[in-house]
Amino acid sequence: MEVKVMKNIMGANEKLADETRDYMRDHGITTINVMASPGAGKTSVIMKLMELSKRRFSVIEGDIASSIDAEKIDKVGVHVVQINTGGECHLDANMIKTVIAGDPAFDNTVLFIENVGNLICPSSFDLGEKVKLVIASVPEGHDKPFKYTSMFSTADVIILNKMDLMPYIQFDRDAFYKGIAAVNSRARVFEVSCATGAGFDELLKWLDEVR
Amino acid sequence: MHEYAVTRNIVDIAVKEAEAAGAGRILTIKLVIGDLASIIDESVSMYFDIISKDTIAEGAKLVFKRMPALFLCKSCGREFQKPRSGFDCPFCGGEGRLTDAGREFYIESLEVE
Repeated sequence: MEVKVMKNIMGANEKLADETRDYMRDHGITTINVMASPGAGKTSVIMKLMELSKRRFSVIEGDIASSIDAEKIDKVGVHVVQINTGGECHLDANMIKTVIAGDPAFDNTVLFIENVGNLICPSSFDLGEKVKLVIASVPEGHDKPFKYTSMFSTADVIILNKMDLMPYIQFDRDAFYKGIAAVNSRARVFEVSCATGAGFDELLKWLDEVR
Repeated sequence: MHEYAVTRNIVDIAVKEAEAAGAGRILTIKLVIGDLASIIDESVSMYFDIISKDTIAEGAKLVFKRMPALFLCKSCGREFQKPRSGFDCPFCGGEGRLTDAGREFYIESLEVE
């Protein structure tokens, strides 16, 4: 006998993500899901923005096993919770819900979720966030939007980091932007350097308007 | 890379649906997977054997229906599959734009008894 199913395989995660979204809305939490490959500068961008902005922040750090990034955030006095996925390549909605539910220190903050460094899996998991922020960096090369189509197509905002290295790297800027345009017509793109601070004025303006 | 989590969902959904239909065993699970879902069939099959053990899905055959990622050419308006390199139209060289095709990720049907 045949049984018609037609059910989304990610349905369970998406239901939890919707519940988490409702919780965030009710508690004044504006969530930014930060995704990038390892070493693109996720922690650096988050820390720079927290340093420059006057808004209140909180952070969830996703990593396979370490708490190196969480310790950096903790030192600047921002509420941070570490999630160690124990080998899982991504964070999921259930992990986020478990961490923020009932912890009032997340209320009325801009919550950065630093996802596991990976340009593949995190793009498949809705965390209930308001903004999907993808960071690429100059030394990784201009071909990332071509190789990681799914990740770049789901981004609301794309940051190109380490712009100070542009003179030393064969980075074809036109190709990079052409790749983004092919897979994503709505994302805003910002060029920044955490090392020099260049480009952060504009990024900050955007961040201050995210509600 | 996230096939373990995904396969757990597949087994959960299939078992629930089969039981709701009064079935005692699942023979086949038909999956529709777009290429943008970043899922490797063999990896799902491997986890499936482990996760489905001692459930009514144990031993079921997985059928993978693959949906290619499709682009639409800005210049000539033709649809084409994601080329191996770049996103340009293989017919006229125009710029391709990603469509929604290729994001499918669902269980279509089960064969049960």
